[in-house]
Amino acid sequence: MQFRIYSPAEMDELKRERDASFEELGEFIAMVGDHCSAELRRVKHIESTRSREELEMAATRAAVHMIRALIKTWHLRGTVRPWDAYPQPYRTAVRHALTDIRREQKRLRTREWLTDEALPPRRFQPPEPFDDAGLETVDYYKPIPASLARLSPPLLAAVAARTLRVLAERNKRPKLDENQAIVARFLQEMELSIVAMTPDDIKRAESFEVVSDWRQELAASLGITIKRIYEITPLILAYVRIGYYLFIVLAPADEPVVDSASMNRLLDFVYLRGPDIDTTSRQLLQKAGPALTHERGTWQVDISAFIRDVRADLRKVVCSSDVDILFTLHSAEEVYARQVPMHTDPLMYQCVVRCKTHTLDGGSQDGFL
Amino acid sequence: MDSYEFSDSDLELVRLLRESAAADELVSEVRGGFSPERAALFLESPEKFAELADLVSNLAPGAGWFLAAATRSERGRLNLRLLDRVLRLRPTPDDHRFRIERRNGTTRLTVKTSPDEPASGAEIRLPAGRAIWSSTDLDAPPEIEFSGQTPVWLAGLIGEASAEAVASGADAVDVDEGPEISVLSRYALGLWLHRWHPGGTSEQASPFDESLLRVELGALASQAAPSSGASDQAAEWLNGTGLHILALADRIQSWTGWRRVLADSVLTAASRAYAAAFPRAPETEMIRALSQALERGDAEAAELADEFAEFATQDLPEPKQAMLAGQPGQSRVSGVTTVDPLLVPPRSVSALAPNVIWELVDQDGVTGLQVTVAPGDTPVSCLEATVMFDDQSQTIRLPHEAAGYRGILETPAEPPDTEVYVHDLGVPGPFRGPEAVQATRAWIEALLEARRDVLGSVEVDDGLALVDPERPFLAELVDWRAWL
Repeated sequence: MQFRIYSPAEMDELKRERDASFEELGEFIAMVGDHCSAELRRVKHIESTRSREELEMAATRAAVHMIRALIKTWHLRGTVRPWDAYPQPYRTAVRHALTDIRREQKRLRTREWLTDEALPPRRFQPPEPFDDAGLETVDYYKPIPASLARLSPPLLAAVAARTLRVLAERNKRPKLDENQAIVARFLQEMELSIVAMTPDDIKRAESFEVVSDWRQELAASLGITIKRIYEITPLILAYVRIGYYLFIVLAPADEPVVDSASMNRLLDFVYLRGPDIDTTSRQLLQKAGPALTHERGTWQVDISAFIRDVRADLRKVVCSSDVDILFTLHSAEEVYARQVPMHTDPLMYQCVVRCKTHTLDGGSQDGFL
Repeated sequence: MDSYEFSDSDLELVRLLRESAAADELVSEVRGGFSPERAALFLESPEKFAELADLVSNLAPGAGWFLAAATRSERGRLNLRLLDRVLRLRPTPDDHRFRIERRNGTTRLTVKTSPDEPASGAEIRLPAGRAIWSSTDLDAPPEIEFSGQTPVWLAGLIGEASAEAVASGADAVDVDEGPEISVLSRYALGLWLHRWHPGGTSEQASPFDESLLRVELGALASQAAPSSGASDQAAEWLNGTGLHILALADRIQSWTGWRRVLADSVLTAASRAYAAAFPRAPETEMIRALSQALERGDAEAAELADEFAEFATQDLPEPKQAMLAGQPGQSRVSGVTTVDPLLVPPRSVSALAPNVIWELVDQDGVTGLQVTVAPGDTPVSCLEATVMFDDQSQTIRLPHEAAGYRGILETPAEPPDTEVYVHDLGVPGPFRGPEAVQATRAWIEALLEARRDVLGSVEVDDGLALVDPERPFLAELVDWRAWL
């Protein structure tokens, strides 16, 4: 990276906004790409893995920040400012990004969110009664109106597929065993054939004629009983819901977790003992995922089902009242959400009670505020 | 249930996994960039673009896509075109504007929310007002405040046109760069360093060179426009730095490249400002000669600087003394804690954590709780400690002794649940918990480390833009590289 000393007059010229064509915009963006490549080449030789990774991340984030700013200015005013693609601002952007990365890591280590002061005041009233809403029966062939589907179906499909793949490849809990992984893959591939069907095919599929004995054949090929196949699909569905809960619901609206390394790390955080989260919080997070339900276009924890599961399975650890359980989950979600890559500050995600503190759209309840 | 039936679980799963292979690929592309062929496909087909638009309504384009768009190739061009179309679907507000509030004769301009961290900002006092910079962003002060009429200095910060708009009662104005923004931004960063740099640590045996920072702050203040009032602060910073300026002239002779360029510029401004501020000081004649030599050229300045070798700092403070050593057999360490940097003068206590111990001791017939604080690079004569136990609190003085700041609270036995808070004289809190203190320390450390790792690694010899407010301070340069 080359630095130059510019005279005030040169600086004024570099910082002057000017009209630019798309091609000129592309040229400035390519300059940022060049700075990023040079920085990545430079840091490649750093011996400390952690420092290298942090600097690589900072180099990339800085480039994205600058490119985004260049495009934004061009969209708003049709102009560019050459200085915004120059090496000095890029280095400043790297410094900003590295500061943020370091700051976040140091903050994670302070565990400030576990202090009493970090907990929001308790004014939440639980919804009553805790009816068992049960699973909503889903009509696969009925398209969801776009106005209701707040989450894009391709995103849901990709996160489901990636969650299952990560679970199949993990060697620690939670994980899919071999049979579960094959059934998951089978279900993924089965939909491919359904997609290719004509409306008549779909009618036949609805009567299940074309898939008459899929479960039997699958059980035979796996050497397991058909009863076991019956048990596996709800389990896979529960894992998909866990994926939606951890990687979409508790992530920033724009930044669901889609890379497998982060998915793996977050699953470890929720399922394995660690210094940054207590056992009760982990167990409640584990219970909340499978209780996720799709309602009015959004995915949210079915509180009644969640409370029921917690009371059934976690008698030794749960708090005394339903409010306490929800309050503890709400706090646990905050602890978890800080681990999610690209989380915002303050944290914004769809918390279990959709409180105003965490919910981008202002929340549907008074919540804990 | 017969084997050919689909249960609710089956159906929901199949529905959720519908077209997952294609979705998986598209997610990878939104995160990592498209091949030229796929980019062309999404650009040309409205149906395919609609699919992409649907996905990016919930998934932000990833860094890989941005970088793919920044390559000089057909792939780069097509990715940029597609990214441009997608970003138009995700409009972002133009946040490059100050919001203006007027209340009780006070006008307040805010451009963005400052971080909720007490050590994040640096304030510059200006005539009838102030500007607060965030150490995280030096482009513009996120907050400007003044009382009464629109001050002259406002145009220097936000530009003539924006200042006129403020004067005429606008509710929002563009954030523009006034002619003073660069020097004042840097001055603000220097003030931040002066207030929050914790000093040398065990990793860096030498202390933070505060005198070098004072020289540079004085130089910066002198360069600000008189209307800002900052120039009045130059003498305050430069007071007592005459010998340091002369020593600096000698010290930087071995420096090369951009570090030398920076150092020369600081030396030139500081010597000129010192001579103006202290015309009758004993070393002013030499500094004036240095200033004139610097203006005439490097060779003459170097020749003159040789004569200042005797002023090169000979009496560097001793490396940090080992602190917090208990006295085995005589005392029992009861607890340790870390001083809240908000409550003590800059670098008055050790940068290490923990830097406070309290222990029950018997000393000269007195039994009590002894509090010891490790001193920093710039110790003060005395601090205080407030000891809290049960519902009581008592404050003791901690004079600076050879072993550090030390004081004893007379008590026959250690009170239960003791908490110790160390603070400056007459600053009785508010006291923050260890997590908040650690968060502040982490905030400061992260910025300092990032500056060292990014700015300290520049190796090319073309120098930094002297107008870049981010450029390293000389005190940082010598902190990062002890041989400088």
